[in-house]
Amino acid sequence: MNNQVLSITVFLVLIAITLVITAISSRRVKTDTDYYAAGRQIKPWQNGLAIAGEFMAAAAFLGISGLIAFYGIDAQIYSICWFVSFFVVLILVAEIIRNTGRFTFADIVAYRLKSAKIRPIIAVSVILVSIVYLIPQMVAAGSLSKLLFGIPSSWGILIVGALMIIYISLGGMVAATWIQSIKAVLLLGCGIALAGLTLSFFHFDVNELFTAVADAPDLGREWLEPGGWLTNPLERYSLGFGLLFGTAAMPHVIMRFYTVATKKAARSSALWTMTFMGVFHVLTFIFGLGAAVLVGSEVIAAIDAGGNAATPLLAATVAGGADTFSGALFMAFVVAVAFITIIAAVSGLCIAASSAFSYDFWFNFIKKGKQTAAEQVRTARISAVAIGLIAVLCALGLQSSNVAYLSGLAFALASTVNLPTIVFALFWKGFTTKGALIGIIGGTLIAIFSVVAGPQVLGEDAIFPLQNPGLITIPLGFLLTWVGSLLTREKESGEKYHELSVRSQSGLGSE
Amino acid sequence: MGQEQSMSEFRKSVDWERIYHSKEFRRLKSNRMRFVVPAIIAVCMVFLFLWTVQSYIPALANVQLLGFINFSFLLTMILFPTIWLAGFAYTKYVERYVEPYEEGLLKTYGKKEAGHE
Repeated sequence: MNNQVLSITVFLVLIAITLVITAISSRRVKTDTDYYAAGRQIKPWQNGLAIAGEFMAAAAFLGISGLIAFYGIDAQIYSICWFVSFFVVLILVAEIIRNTGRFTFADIVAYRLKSAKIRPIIAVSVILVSIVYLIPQMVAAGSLSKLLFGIPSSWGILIVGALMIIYISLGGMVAATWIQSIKAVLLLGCGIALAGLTLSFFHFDVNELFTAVADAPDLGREWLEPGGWLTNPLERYSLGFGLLFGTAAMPHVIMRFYTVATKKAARSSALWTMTFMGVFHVLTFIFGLGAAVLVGSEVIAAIDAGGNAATPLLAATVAGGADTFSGALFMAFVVAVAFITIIAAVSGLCIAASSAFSYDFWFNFIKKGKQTAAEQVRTARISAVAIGLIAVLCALGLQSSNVAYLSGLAFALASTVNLPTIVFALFWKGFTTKGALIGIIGGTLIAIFSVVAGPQVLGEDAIFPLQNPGLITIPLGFLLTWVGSLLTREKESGEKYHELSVRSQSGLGSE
Repeated sequence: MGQEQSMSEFRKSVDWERIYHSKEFRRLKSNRMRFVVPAIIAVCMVFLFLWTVQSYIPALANVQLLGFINFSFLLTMILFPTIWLAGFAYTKYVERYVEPYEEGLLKTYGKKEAGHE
């Protein structure tokens, strides 16, 4: 059987399973809490699995391996920083977020500040971050579908978009959680099997793998040493700090802490996330170095210059070769799982964006909190369809452009805009509505400028020096919000600080 | 909707400022911060050290400790179990030194409160 036909068959089987789950979960969605927070019925381990799934995406499974295969061990920074970022989430935000909000992080900020002014602007910011992050994911899905399944990239975008809209509009957070969990289990299984099979070529001795890399004529010791990819030291600090602290501000991550019943469950979720992510990310160097030695970077680059083919080609090689049934089957499985990871990732982003519109903007700002549960669910479903269609149209329009910079922009926006807003709302009495507005609007402009005028877009003519702008933009985001708040006064915000502080730390009055 | 309204009424009925200044709450907050602040500083210091070594001190980063496995790689790999253990320690710390105060506050002020164990 042709490899691509096998990949498509495995993919269709997995999709059929997820669609059945969506159909079942859609029956359980009756209220706003069911739709946005899965009725707060998700078990901590499953929530941990779903959150871990967000960071075991195609970027991790395919991207990190490709970077390591092409440039050496430097790309491991993604694995360790994503993992450690959940330690930051565990001790700093998981419980506190669960104790203070209802469905979105705008709940926390809007409670302290003037809701009518702050909620719509946060909604716009969340929608912007989510769509900006959705577009490159969908464009990547298009390119991958061409590479992996042999179908036109427009079809790939349409398939991913259609599945995302079906999952989220019907099943809401329940479906998003189940799809993300199933994908995480598949990816963990796939990753462990791939690492085991790869290491079997080196007698299960990591040092033997390293020796093979060092001895390979086209690789060498420098593949095992830092500096092959992150040649500018400032980029290392900037990317690292951005990943460590930016994760805590990603709206689709924050939302997941509302799906569990208690603050203790939120804490437990974050520890489960660390457990699952740790198991997966500790293995990524094996995929990358294994692919460099066993497949060869030239072979990988001949198929995909971005390195995304490293993991599937390694799977085929370690399972007996692409021309054997076992090799073709394992590669097909890896390809299908990689594609499912993209669908799960875009589904999480879609629910974050649609919740920002339907709950923060429509329900709270336009309808002033006056909608029945059924009306809220209907609005949320319509929003999911609309957000999905916008993302599909943007991805179709931009599919022939290089949109990799948009992922960086989404992360820059989240960490520059959301992080100061959350931290100051929870921990600083002097935080004011005007300060927040200055921080959000100013932070958005700074984040956009840093990426659009940076090396990713302008190359050698860049005005902004860093590809990963977090080192400069995050402190500027904090500075703007702080100065803006110092220059203005708001008695009510100070008074509500006491309440929010007690609620966030103790859980008293939480939903 | 009903639960939401009763929660809103409950929140209005509580004297948050009094709780904020209460001994139990101050103890709860300071106990949590006693772990959180040093942990965040430690994480920042460890990563600053790691990235500085990787960027500016290649002689140390590339010291081979086990065959071709070098200091930089080994330190990165050790961080996985170490940070996980720190996370696990945090959950145990909270159970022992924070939750008793939370429960005290909930007992005193939160009789109508929902969503807690």
